[in-house]
Amino acid sequence: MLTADLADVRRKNGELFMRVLDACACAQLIELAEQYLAAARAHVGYRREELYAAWDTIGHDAKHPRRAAALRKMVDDACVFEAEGTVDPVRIRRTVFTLASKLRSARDRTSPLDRQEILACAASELGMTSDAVEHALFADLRGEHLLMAAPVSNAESIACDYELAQAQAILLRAVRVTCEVRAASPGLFRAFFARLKFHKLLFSVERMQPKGFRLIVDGPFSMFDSVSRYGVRFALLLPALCALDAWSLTADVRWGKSREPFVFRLSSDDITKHGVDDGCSIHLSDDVRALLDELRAANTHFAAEPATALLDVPGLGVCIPDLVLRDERGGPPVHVEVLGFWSRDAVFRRIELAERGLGARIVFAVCARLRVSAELLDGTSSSALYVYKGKMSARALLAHVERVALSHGIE
Amino acid sequence: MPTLIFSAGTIELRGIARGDPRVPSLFAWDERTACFRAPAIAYVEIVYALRARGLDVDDCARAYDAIDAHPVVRRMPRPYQEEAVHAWQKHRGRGVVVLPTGAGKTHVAVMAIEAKKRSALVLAPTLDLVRQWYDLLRTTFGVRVGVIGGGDYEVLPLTVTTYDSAYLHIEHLGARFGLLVFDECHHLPGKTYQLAARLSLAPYRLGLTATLERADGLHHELDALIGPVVYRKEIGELSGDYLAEYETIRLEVELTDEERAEHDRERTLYLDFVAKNGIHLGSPQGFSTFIARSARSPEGRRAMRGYRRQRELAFAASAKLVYVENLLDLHRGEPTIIFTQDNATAYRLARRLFLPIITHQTRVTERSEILAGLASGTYGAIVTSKVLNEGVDVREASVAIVLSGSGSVREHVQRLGRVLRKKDGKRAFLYELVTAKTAEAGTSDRRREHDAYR
Repeated sequence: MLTADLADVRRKNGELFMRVLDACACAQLIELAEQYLAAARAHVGYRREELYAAWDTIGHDAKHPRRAAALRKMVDDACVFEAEGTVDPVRIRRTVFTLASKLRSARDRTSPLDRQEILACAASELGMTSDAVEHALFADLRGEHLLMAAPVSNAESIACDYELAQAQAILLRAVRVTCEVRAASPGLFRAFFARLKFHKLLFSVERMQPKGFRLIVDGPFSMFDSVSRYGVRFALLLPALCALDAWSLTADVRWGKSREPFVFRLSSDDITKHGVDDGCSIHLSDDVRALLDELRAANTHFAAEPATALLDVPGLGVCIPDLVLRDERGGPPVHVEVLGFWSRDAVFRRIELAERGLGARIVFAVCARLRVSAELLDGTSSSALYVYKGKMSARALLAHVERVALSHGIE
Repeated sequence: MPTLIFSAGTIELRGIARGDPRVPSLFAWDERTACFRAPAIAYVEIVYALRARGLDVDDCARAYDAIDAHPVVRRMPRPYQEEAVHAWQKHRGRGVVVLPTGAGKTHVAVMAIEAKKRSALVLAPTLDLVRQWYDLLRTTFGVRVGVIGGGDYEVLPLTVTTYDSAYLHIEHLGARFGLLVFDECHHLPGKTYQLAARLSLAPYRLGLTATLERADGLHHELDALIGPVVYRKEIGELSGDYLAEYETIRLEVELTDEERAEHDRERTLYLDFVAKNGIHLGSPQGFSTFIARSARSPEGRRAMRGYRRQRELAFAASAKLVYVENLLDLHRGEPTIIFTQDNATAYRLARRLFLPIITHQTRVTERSEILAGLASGTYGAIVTSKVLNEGVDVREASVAIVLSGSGSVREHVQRLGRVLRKKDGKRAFLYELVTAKTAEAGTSDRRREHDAYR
């Protein structure tokens, strides 16, 4: 990941803007990436310091030094370096320095320290040549590491990752991020929320019309101070956001040495989407897809499709259904979330959500291996637990859906 | 019953309705999680406020223990160490003790841990200091001591960590310690490091430093993060009785003709750019302006390279490297530490004179071996850049040679401190090698603006 100082931005009226690259700049970027890659390929087997010296020459001549430095970092991160494995530099240093110390204190004050004598003594003790001793003295230092492999990616793909890396570098200094997400598929949405939870970020969600959600994302301590502590997590969250269909974010950023407040805006239009499938249905897991096919083939007045809704109970959590079943005779839709057999705790959280009122009718499909009883949700008429053994059955699920659809109210 | 919970550096109060008048104003309602929330550092005030309001809570936040902290090796404290601990206790176990390097600040911490008998986390700025604290706590209390940082992660009732690791882990460690000891606490008020104090609920906090004041004035924030300065003694007050007698000597060296020609050429390039762009280097923003402007054009970037090169020539003048050999001869048998401003010069010296070197790249085991070698006499001298500036205790070291350094008074005082530990008949020397007719002379003047050099 790039560091914040490598972000190429301009400031205007309290906003930070990522510099937009036109076709000419993109071509230059690819050309520059190719130069860095070519130097790396030519230095396989050489020391890191030697490669860096070659890269310095490229950087000095670059028209946009910050852009060059960022690309260089991206290429550097993709290189494989290793210390020379055949020598033990710590042992060599211990031998050389101990000998040098002894000879220094024993010699006549008027005669200079004889380096060659020290190297020769050490070489004989270590069973090496004098040159080899001197060469290996600091072979474990970072600058002495050898380039084992140049990056496998080509200049185009590195240049393509550049804008995402730039946005991530800016987000490192963010104290709060507001995201607006529209028409996302449930699988991708679930992945996004899973990422939020994984990074222990807190968020509040509100619905946007016609379809979409607005999330304010920050951390527990953000209530008391604007800290960029959560910046790395925002940066790591960005790829999950980019995987969604359409999105925008507004980040409150503390920029520069004086941490001046700026606003940074970014949307799905600003970032080239690559390497990410955005089709809706393909993000259904195999068992959900099989269930959907079975429901569609069943003789029923419920039409099944992948769900796009997000059900939220403020302060308690969010539930992202997999499917939605619409009654062709009319009436509100019934959502289905498949919880499978992963987490018993997740089931109890859903029960709590349902009891507090999700504002929609829902059936949770839970594997019997989680040892939960369908009666746990008997207290609410707008939700139900469908406990299945082995494989989900469309017919059994429809029975629950029918009952929930006919319920009178929503808790 | 309402419950207090530690959550990622904050305290949650759950099980009580929004708007309940008994909830102290230290809390704010958090819509995101539907509970009250306060910063962890307010824990003590929260507990007092809840008690005052008669609100019974189930305190699940506090996760630290009372410990059986009896030193197995007891050292008689010096009078000022006793006074310091007494003053700290009087301030409810929250405050900063300022003592010169070599005066035994660590012993003050040992006494504080013994007095409070709470699981304690010691935070230090470098891995060398972590290693030193680890050894001290283990041998003093005769217990296993945890370490977080440098590849280790073991949390025990007595644990030592770096400020960097504390910043990374405090969200889940913040409830596990009742006492925080901030070694070299002048580092704490930095924007990121201070979160290590703010995200912890520890009621007892002790700050230790020899150089409290920061150029940016942020040391005033220590009042809120740790507590006020409760005790202070300067070098002059303890020198002779408790610190070694010392002498500071500044030596000027000349550049060779080739070095002088290159130095002057590069410096002219740099200064011409500064003048052409109307940059006033004496102003507070002068150098930042130079950095910003130099990035905008090839001419500017060349000027920046010129600035770096002339500085490099002054810092590592070949005459300095030769003179170091003379000083090593002069102080043969006296353990010596050579300080440089940058790693490149340190490695150059290490390669040239075959001296053991400690930089940020040196692993902990090798650092320990080198320091032990200096103490035992296996090595007569070692070279380092900045990592040994602070705190590292090499009681035997009596000569410091500053080959190059910044203009920071704090850094210079800390470097002097490395050789000030009292030992029978010891007289300490601090040499400063400065290249004549370069900007280094001014840098040296700035860093000597302290009572210790008068």
